[in-house]
Amino acid sequence: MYTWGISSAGILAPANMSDINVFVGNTSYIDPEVYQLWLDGLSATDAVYARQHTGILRKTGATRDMLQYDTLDYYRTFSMLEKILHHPPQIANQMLLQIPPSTQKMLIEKYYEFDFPVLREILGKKLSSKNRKDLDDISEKTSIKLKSCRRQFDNFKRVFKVVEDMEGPIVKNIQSHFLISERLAKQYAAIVFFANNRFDTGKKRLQYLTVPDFTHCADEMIANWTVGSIDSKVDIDADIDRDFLQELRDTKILLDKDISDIHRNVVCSALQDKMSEKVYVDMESNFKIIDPCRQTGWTSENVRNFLEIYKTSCKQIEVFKRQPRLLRIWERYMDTLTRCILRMYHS
Amino acid sequence: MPGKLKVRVIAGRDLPVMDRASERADAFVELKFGNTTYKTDVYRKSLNPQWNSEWYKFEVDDEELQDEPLQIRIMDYDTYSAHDAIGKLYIDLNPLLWKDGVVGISGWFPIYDTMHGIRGEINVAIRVELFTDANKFRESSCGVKFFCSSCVPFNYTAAAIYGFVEELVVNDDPEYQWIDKIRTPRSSNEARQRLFSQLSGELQRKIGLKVLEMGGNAVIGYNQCFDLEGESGIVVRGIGTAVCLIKSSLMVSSPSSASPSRDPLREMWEFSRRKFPLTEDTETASPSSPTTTSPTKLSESPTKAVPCVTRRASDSDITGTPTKGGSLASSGSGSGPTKSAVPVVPIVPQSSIDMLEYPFFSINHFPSGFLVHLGGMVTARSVKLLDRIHNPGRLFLSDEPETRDAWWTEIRTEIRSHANAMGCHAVVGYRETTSICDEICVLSASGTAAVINLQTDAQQQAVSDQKGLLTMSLDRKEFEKEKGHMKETQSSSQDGANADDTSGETLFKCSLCHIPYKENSLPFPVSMAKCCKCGLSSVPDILFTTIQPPHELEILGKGCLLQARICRTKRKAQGEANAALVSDALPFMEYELHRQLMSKLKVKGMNTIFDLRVQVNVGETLLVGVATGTAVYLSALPPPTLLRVTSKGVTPNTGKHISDVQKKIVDTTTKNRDFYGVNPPETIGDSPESPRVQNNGDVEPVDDVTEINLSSGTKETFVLEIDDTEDEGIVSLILDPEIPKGFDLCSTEVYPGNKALSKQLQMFSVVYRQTFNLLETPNNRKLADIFDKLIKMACFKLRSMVPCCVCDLHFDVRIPEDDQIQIWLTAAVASVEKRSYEQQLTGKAPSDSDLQFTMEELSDQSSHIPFTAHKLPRLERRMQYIKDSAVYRPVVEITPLCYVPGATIDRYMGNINLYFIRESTSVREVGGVSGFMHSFVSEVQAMIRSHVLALGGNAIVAYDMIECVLSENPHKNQCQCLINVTGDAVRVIHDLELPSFSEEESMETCKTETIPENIHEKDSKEP
Repeated sequence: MYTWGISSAGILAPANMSDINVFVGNTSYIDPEVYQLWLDGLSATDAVYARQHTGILRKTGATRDMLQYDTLDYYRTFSMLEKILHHPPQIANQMLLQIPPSTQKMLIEKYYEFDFPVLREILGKKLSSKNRKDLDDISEKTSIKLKSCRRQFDNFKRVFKVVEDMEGPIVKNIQSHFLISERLAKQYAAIVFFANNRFDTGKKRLQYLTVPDFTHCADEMIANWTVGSIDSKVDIDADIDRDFLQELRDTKILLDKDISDIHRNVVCSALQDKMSEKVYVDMESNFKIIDPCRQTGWTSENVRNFLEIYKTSCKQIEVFKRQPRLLRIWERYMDTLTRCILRMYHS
Repeated sequence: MPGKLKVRVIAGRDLPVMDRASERADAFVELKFGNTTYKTDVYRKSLNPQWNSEWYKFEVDDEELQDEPLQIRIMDYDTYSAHDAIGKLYIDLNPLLWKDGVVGISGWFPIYDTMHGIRGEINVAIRVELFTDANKFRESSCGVKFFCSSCVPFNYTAAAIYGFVEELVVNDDPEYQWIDKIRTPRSSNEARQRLFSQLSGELQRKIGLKVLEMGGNAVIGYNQCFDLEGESGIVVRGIGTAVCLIKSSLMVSSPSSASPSRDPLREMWEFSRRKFPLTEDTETASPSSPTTTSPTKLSESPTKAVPCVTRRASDSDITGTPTKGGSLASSGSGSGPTKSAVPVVPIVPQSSIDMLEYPFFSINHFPSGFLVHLGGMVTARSVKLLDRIHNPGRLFLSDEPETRDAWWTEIRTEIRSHANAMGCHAVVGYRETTSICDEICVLSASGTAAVINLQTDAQQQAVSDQKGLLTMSLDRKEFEKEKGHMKETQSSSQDGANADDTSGETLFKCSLCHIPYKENSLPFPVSMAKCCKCGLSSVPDILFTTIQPPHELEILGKGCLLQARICRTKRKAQGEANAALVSDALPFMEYELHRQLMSKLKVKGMNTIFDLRVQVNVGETLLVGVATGTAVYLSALPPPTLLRVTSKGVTPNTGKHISDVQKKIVDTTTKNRDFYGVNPPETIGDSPESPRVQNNGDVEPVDDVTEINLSSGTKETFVLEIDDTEDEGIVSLILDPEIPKGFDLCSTEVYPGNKALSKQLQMFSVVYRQTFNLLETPNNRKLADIFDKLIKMACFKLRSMVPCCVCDLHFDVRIPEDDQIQIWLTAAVASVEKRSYEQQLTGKAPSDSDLQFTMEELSDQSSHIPFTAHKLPRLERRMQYIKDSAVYRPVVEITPLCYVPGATIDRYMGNINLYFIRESTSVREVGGVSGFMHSFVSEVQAMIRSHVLALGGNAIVAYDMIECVLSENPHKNQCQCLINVTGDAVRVIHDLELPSFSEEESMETCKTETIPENIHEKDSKEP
């Protein structure tokens, strides 16, 4: 049996380098299973083991040797493809490999697929080369192979670079440049959104949040808080509407002691009818959101009600009555915030 | 005939980054033809330059157009230093010179660099305008079409077949020129690529001239190869069959081939659905009897006077008088005497076979009525010493071809005399090969001796069209017999509820197998029997041929791949002594190969081999012989006798052993007979041997049987003698490992049996090289293991496509170093249609239900394949996999067959003959030699596809990787490889459009695929 060594191209070749066994078809059919192993960052040797475990040798009567050569054929094909996959539209133009359109789709989609644990770690971090070097920590923590972590990191970075300054709806942009499904594009949009707006998702308090939570929130914010959301004119989707942020400052008056007190009273009185005494007391004593609510065991229904009233009660405050514009901004802020908080409100 | 070449450079895409700082390139294009060069503007700072250039015009000579490729070089502009090369592209302009050929070449081509491989793509448009000129003394042969396909092309009829044409050209190899020591590897490679292209153009031009002189307008079965003789230069050889082709009169090229059975295209010359007119055509004298033989003669002296027998003496003037008279009418322009209606035959005079100096035909499929009798395989080999002394620089160019010519003349003469000895006046399926090792060169030629009738299909067609079932047979008995057959066939084919009026004409002609010589006239003993079909004439017990199974012959059950592999060691020696050693060893190899083939054939329970190719390779201390063919059971030939094992020194022990071995052979044979459905009819012979053996499993009866067979008139039965352990090894060698379930393997282009190939699923090439370690001596067993492994490996790779037939499976073997064996193989994979032979013959299209059946079966089979999905649901994945292979239609189909299963060839776009050299100085970094070869072979396929597309085609048929020379310097991390590929670019129309997936998918493909701006049809872009 052969021993295997890693070449610098990352492809495994038999130690006896002078032996050749290469199979090239006019049409490149890809075994999705082997592709997944490659994406998972398995070395060819490990991939052979993994395939062997599926009982393939018994089922097909193949020898281990054959499985090795087969795996290597695929691995070489993948490494030829990798450069092209960095620019997915090229895969249809390129002439090197003739690939059925359905397979092309599969290749791209899976290449850009990522593991949530890895994303969770990367999210909110700067996509710098320094952080790329630290990927082995992430790899260790998530027990996902370093090679796979790198691919995912590079994918984030690549997508980010391409769409960061691009005009128009971000999800559409990602889809047209990377030919991935809407589902996946939305997830990338979230990453781009967070990275672009420097959300600090790494805070300890937010540790419990999962990737779908973040993508959901990003989705809401993109839908409501960016320029593209109200104005169908072309603009950058990845940034929060600057005017909106500016205007939002005006609502800071709520933080004024006086107004805040009034608001609190209005909220509290409105709530009295709807909520249990206990909840009410809790609410009254501290006005923070998720953590406290959780500690006191609110149901999400409770939270919803609270936020609804918190939003509407502003109407009763003098300042807001005088300025309908302020109210509109407040509602735009609160609607999205409510949905985000509700999403985030889970154990 | 001067002409104008016009080239336009449109755009580039996905160019490599040439400037690190800007991550862009400043690309421009340099066009070169002859001595003229044009440059486009520099398109700055882009990886997707849009040049949109004007039409650059070159005024050229047609001779140049034939010889020279158009060179397109893509450069990166550099203000201060020399411009950097991005890559190059060579375009052969010959397809544009065909009279009714494509108008332009246009499309995206990969930009190729010999050091870096493919680097982006370029879109160019090319046209040629020829001015008509009737210069008698011209040196060009524009318009002569070349086809690699070894058949009369579809949609064409051969109005006349003129026979063998050959030419060879010799040149220095740039790789061995002194200048190579100082130039870069890139320029050396490019010089070589350019030279190959030029030599190939020159060779075709010269052959074309011969064809024109004969009165022909095309070469079919064109076979061209390069002999890289190292220091002594490059020899380019081309052989082919000159013909006069006329477009089939009824040809309609509409894609609406909804009912292919009525499609006239199909009625021509199709292998999967054949029919032939009932015309028997013998003016040939002796329907005596045939066999198999592979006579070998070896000669060492390179220059021997060539005794030319009864025929005309010289190559050069053969083409002169006899044929010329009438042929002037067709003026060699390529158009031929086409009247729009029925082909009018008499205008093209057919030369008589006796007038041909070498009555050889390089084709493997024949028009109906062409083959009369098959004699058997003939081979000639000769060992030559490549003499370096006669090589004083370029001077040798003038006389060298003559030496090579003389060598080949010698061999051809020998082949001809072998054929004559078998009572045959022609050799069909003719092929020439060489094997070179340092200064030793082994020249080989082989073919099938046959009696033929040159009055082709067209003439007969005309006659049969007029007179229906009229037979022209002079032989009363033959006629009666045919009639009898016809009745049989008719009755059986009526079950097929086939309303086609042609069904009645289908029948098999056993007369092909009848020996053309007197039973005792052969210089070697041959076993004969009466024909099992008509019982009138004699047939040999075994038949070896180099041709495709003719449709006239009935095959029982199905056939299979048959291969014999032999290796021998040889002493190291130099010069004459070495040549002598090789010469001495060759007959033994030949004998052993023959013995292995015979034994294996018998164990398979079959009696005939088609498409047999014998390769002999010479190394410094190693000789490797590989014979590959397809075994079948021809119902006309007697059932094969069982392989009998004997031992001379019989002791009680060995006696037991022998009977064990015999039992094993009997068991395997029985099993094979059942598996392949080749159990001989019960009526033959006094004892149906196999059932009896099966019943009691005893060895006793077998001996009886063989004795019975021995006594039943045959002179010699094939006996395997086991006297020592070496002989015992032979037994293990003749028992092939089982073929994985669901696969049929064959070397032929048609399914060897009562089925047809319905859709091509894949075409693949395998490149394999193994180094024997120092301690082990390569032996037959190890060699056989390599081949068995390659076959098994290919089946494993293709397991998702079962049930399928791996066809046209060919192995090319080389011994690059003494401890290395290199093999490359190419094959097509196709699904098999369960159609009866009658259906095939009558050209009945597969009904929808047939197709569904196949697909169902496919999905059923592939459920065995374990695809445990990680992220997709299992079913979905499986479906996708099936969908891909069963329904997906590649943008460009590549096939080694001369047709595309499941499609009809609508038009031939041109002959493709490409040479690529690839070199790397960082082999380890690209994944070793395997990685290097993997990308190179992929790149070559990509280049072929782009050439086909640019010609307006969607498939390439008769694809062949002719040469694959790999040299390596592991210490320097270097590797170099040369690949030569050929084929015919065609446009095909697929039989059935499968609306479910294909429409949507092909739309998708269309979008992504650049459609050349209709340059083939219209002139809109012209300024």
